[in-house]
Amino acid sequence: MSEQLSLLPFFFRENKQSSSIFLSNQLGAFAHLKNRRELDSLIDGDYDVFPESKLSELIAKSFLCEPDEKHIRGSLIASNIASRWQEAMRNPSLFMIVPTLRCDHNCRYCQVSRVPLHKTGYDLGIGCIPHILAIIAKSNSKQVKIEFQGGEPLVAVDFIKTFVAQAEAMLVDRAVEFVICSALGPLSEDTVTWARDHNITFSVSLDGPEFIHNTNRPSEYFNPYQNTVQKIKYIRETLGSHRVSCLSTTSRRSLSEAREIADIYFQLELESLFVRPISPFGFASKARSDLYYSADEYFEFYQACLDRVIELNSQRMFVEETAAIHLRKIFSPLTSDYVDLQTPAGYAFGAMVFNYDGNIFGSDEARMLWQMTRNEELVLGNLNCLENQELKLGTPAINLLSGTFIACNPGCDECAYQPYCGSDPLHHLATQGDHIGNKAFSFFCKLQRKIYDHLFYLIENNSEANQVFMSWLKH
Amino acid sequence: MVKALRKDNIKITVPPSAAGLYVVGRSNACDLNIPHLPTLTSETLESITTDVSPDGTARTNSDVTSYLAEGDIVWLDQRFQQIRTVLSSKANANTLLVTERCENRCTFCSQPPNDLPDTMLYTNATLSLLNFNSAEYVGISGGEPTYNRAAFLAMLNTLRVFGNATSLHILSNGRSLADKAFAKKVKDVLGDREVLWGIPLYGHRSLLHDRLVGSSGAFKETLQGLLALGEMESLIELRIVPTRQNIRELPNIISFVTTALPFINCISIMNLEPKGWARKLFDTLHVPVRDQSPFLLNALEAGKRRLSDIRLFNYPLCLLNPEIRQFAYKSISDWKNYYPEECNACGLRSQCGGFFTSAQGKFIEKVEAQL
Repeated sequence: MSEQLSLLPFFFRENKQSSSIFLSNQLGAFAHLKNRRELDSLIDGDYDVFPESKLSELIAKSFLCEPDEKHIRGSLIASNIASRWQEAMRNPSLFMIVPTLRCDHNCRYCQVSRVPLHKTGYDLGIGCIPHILAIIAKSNSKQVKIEFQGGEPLVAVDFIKTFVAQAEAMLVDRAVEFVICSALGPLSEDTVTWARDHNITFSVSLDGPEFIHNTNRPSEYFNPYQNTVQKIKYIRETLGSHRVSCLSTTSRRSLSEAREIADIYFQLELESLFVRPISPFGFASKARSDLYYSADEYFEFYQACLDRVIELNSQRMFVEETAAIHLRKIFSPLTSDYVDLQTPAGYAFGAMVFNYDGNIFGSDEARMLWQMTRNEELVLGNLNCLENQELKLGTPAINLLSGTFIACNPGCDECAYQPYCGSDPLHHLATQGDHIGNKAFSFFCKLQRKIYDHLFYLIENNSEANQVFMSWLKH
Repeated sequence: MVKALRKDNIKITVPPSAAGLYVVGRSNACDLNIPHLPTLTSETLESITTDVSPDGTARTNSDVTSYLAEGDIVWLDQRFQQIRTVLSSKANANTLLVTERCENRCTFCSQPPNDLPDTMLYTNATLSLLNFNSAEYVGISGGEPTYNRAAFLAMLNTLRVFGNATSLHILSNGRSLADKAFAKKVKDVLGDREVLWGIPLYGHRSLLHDRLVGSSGAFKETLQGLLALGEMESLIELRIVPTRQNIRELPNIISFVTTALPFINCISIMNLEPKGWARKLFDTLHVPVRDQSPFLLNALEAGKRRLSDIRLFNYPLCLLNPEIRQFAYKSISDWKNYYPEECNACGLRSQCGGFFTSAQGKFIEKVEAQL
């Protein structure tokens, strides 16, 4: 006789290769069934086909429950969804500041449409600092991350130093972390010495081997690769390796060089590798044909990077950031604060950008898109005309955010990875002219599905990778 | 009988008129406007009792007072003719028993419930907490501390009214909190007091949990109580006791708890204390620690991916697989804690939590000194 059990709501996804079925639910629990027949048995209540241990696993993970538990299990699931939404709607904790749009590089894929060094009118005045800090102070987030973006922010190093000094004096009750996102062209020894005494890290663009880096990121002032690498080493030797991390933007040319890129990061004694696709903004949108690639092509490259990083972990801890971000979404969704993979989106809720002209945006991508389109609906406000330093979200921002509850987005609502995924409204706005977008044509969606397919495959089938993942989670 | 790390009672002659609660010497809360307990000094001790110690363990008043520290709360017990420490600054952990009543009948209960009146216990606990005015956590235990709802609320309300800010570790089955109106009252009387709720869950389904706690509907109500605590953003320690009946399901229990209850703060896996019913039914309940290890290992693997704070309580290091010793805590209260002779030669002794004084003879596994 079949056990008396009730079925709880769940998602499923068939693995085309192994024909196994991946199950997930809104608690973020996941399990595997052998084949479609088992899925049918589960749905039909034909539990006899499952061994006792499998039924027990499915009950533990809230795919099944005893009939009298149905109500409380439902409440627990509802509470879980509410917690995740609430967590995503807390006050922003990431503040990006663009002290200048001027830059000493001339990157082919520049996503922010930078301007040359000699241009005037592209710098944020020091007088704006108290206004920015007043807005940050209003967020009740106890942990605050302040990123200086560009252009090349170190071109405006005096602005940064003044900002840090004022922020430290004003935000005394918060844990404040500063990040300078830079290619390190103008970095002086003085600046490194100054950084030593503040909670500052450097996030550096490094695209891998010299021929790729220099092709993607030319400069008329110096050899960009030599300059960047030499200064990464200087920061590491002076301040320690925890004070510098790097980010590799992937161009078409990078696709065949996954292993080399990972190796260079490893040899530079960096703690992690972070590769990302080019976003369809700025110059990248114009130069598409020879920079761009499909989600499949990018994923193949990404997978090669991850494979190499896992291999290198036999020598020392070396984190692949994209996988680490996704693993945190899988195993500790409430502590994951990566703004680009949240639902509702991290736009304005998770992050805020203060542009060189005083405009305030809800995400870095929003300012990139504004720079291209000048669409005023993307501007949340301007530092120079705020009443009482109060920033209220207008109708366009609220409309945009309303479309980022992926449980209600077509294509996401039935996706087995929905419990772990998020929304990228600006990506869809830029590529499809609509902030929800048709997921069937979405680079973002296709890539996320492939990453989760791969990670869940490794979690289930590859004990070496699994051990490495565990060490990253603790990290 | 083996000697515990800390002696918590001494035989003395207690005349009926002297029985009751005292604070030793100067109270920690003597400047506060609270209902003060009478103080106990060498002189007052002399005035209330002539025969210091009938069994000869303490010959003078100073022998008695040397067990005590200023500010400790003691109980002069007429029935057992002894002085017993209730709260002590010398203890590694302080716990107050507020009732012996409970709606559960856990098969392994170390403190089997009864239905005796408990109002006096709540009152004494309240007075003890006020006068001890501890800066450390104090445990509130039973029985089920929330079983007598009125007395439980009155205790917390009295503490609040007199401005007491002691942090509490409340060991409760959580079932009363399934009643939303009661949960709301608890939230109100707790205010911003720091409270850690220690809530036991022994299964991932009602069939298993309800059988182990001997009460149908318990699983559902405990989960409702946990959810209520989660909604008030309380600190929650989830407690699991492995027995023969649930050891195979331990990884599943951990998997259930870490997915369905992501708001809990830590999990304590607690090895059986061979007292009360657990002692009577020891053979049908107990799984030797050496046989528990593979299940513990799987459970910790499953759990630590989602929750960083998982601890093993009451597990002597030598019995544990070396891979999981890092999770073991020194968890046994000093007044019922001892180290058998074999431990003297052990290199891990200082990191090890040792044994319950009740674990002797057939109730203890072979102890092996580690190098």
